[in-house]
Amino acid sequence: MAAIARRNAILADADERSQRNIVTPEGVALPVELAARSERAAAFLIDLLVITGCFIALGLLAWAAGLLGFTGSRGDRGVAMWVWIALLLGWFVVRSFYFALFELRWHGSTPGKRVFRLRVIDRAGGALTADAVIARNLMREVEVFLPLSLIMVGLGTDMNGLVELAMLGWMLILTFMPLFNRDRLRVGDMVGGTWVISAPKATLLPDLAETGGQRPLSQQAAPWYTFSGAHLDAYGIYELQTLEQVLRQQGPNASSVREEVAKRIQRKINWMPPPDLQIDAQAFLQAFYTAQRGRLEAQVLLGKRRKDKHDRAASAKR
Amino acid sequence: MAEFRLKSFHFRREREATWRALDDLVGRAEKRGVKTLSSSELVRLPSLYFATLSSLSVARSISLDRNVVEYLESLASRSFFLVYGARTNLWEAIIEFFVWRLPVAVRRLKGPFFIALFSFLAGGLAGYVLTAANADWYYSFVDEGMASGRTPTASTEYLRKALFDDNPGDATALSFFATFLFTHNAKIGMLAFALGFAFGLPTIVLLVQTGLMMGAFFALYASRGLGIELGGWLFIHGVTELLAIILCGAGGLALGGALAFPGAHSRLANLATAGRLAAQVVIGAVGLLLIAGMLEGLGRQLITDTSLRYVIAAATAMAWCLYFVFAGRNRIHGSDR
Repeated sequence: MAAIARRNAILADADERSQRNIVTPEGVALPVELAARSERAAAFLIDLLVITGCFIALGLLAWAAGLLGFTGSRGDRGVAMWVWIALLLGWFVVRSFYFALFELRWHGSTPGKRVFRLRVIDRAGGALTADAVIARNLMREVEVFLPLSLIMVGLGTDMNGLVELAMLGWMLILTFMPLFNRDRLRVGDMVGGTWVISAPKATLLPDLAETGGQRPLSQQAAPWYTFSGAHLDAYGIYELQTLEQVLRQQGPNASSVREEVAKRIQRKINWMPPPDLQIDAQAFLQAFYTAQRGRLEAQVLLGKRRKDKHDRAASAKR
Repeated sequence: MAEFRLKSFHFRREREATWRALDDLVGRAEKRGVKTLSSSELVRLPSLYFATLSSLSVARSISLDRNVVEYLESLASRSFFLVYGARTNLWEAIIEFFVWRLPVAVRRLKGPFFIALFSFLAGGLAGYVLTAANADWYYSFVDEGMASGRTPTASTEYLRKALFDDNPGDATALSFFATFLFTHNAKIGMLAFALGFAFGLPTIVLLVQTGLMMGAFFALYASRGLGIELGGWLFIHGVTELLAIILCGAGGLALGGALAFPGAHSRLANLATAGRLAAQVVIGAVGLLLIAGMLEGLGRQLITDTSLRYVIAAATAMAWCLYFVFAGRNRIHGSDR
C-alpha cells in the first residue's frame, strides 16, 4: 500500500514537473505539457532529413541545368545561370529559414513537430510573434550548424586536441542546453522567449454515467446494484478517476482487469450481492462509478474535495 | 435512475453541442488554415471559445469526469492559440516592418551598434597601420582564398585590373556571383548574431577580424597609389554591406549584454527581450545584404568610373542614415513587441 502511494506521488510529481500554466487574457489557467526532449530531438531529425532531401533535390536540379546549359548553345548557358541563381537562393531560404517559415505559417509547428504534435508557444502566454520565431531559429546557427560544419571540417584535417576539447565543451553547453534546465529550453528558446509544448488532441468520450444507463443489461440490473453511504465513503477522487480509466480501457485483457477490479472493490467496501444475482463486472463497475461520482460531486459542491482514499480529513471535516 | 441526479451529466448534455461545434471549427482551421473558415464561422469562433472557456471553469469546479475536464483543457488551449495567435496579413506585416519596426529596433540597439561600429573601425585602423608599416602583416589578416592573388607581391597593374575589370563577361554570370556573395554574407551575419550568446566576445572578434582585413587591403592599395580607387570599388556596395554586418554584430552584442549585465530583470527575461529586438535587426540586415549584393554584382561591374562609384556610395550612406535615424519616429511609443 505504501509502495503504491509512493509510486503515485512520484507519478504526480513527474506530471507537475513537465506541466506549466499559461493564463489566458480571460483569466483562465490552461495547463500545457512541455514536450519531451526525446520527441523534440526526433522531430528535429525529421526536419533535418527534409532539409537534406531539399539539398539533394536542388543539387540534382543544378546538375541537370548545368548539363543542359553547358553542352548546348550560348543562349542555353544564360538560362542555366538563371536557374542556378534561383537554386542558390532557394537553398539559402531552405537552409536559413526552413524552421522560421514553417513555424510562422503553421502556428509554431514544422513537419517534424507535426508528427509528434509539438508546437512552439510564447512563454508569457501571448501570441507567438514573428520576431520570437526568427530569434529562436537564428540561434540554430550556433547550436547545430556551426558544430556540424566544424565536425565535417574536422574529419578532413587533423585537429589538435585543444580545438577538439573546446568544440566538445561548446557542444555540451550550447547544443545540449535542453538537458540542463527544467523548462527544457534550448538556446533558441531562451533568446526567443518560447516554450515547446506537446499538444495531443484529447477526444471527448461518451459519459460513463450515460452508457451505464443505456446498456439494457445494466438497466435491468441497476436496481440490484445499490450502494449505501458507507459503501461510497471508501474511496476518493483519485480512485474514482482510476476507475474511469479502467472502464474506458480497451484491449484483449480489459475485461479480465475489470473482473479483478470489481472483485477487489466488493471486498474493500464489503458489499454483499443480493442472493441469486448473476454479477456482471462491467455493469457492477458502471453502477458503482455512477453512484460514487454522484456522491463525490455532491461533496465537491459543498466544498469538500476528497483527494483520495487516504484523505480522511476532507470527509471528517465539518 | 442514478445518473439523472448527476449535475455534471446534465451540465455536459447541455453544453456538449457548443464544444463539438468549436472542435469542428478548430480542427478544420488547424488542418487547412484559418482561411478555409467562412466569415460566419469566423464570427462564431470567439463566442464559442468564450463559452468553452467558461465550461472549463465550471467543469473544474463541479465535474469529476476526468475525460471531460481533459478534453475541455485541450480544446480550450487549441482554440486559445487559434484565437490569439491570428496574425495580420503577411504583406501588411512586411510593410509595417520596413516602414517603422526596423528603424525603431535599430535605434533601441544604439549602444551595441556603436560598440560594434567601434570594434570594426578599431580593427580597420589597426589593420591599416600595421600593414602600412610592415607588409608581412597582410598575410595574417587576409586569408589566401579571399585575397585571390591580390597580395603585396602582385604587380600594381594586376591590382588595378581587379578594380576596373572592364570585361565583365556576361551579366548572368555576374548575377550568379552576386547571389553567391549575398547568401555567403547573410550566413556570416546571422552567425555573428548567434555567436553573441557567448557574452558577445566571438561577435567582437568577428568584427575586429573583418576590420583588420579591410585595413590591410587599404594599406596594400594605398602603398601603390590606388587607395582612392579601392575606396570607390569597395564603398559602392560596402557602405550597405558593412552596415549590415555591423547591425548583425550589434544584435549579437545585445544578446551578450543581456546575459552579462542582466540589470533589473532575470537573465532569461532579458535574453528574450533582447533576442526578439535583435532578431528584427538581423532580418533587416539580411534585407540590406540583398541590396548590397545587387549593388556589388551589377552596379560595381557596370559602373567603372571612380567618382560615380563614390557618388553612389555617398547616396546610399545618406539614405541609410536618414532611414535609421528618422523613420518611424512618431511610432516609438507603440513599439513594444
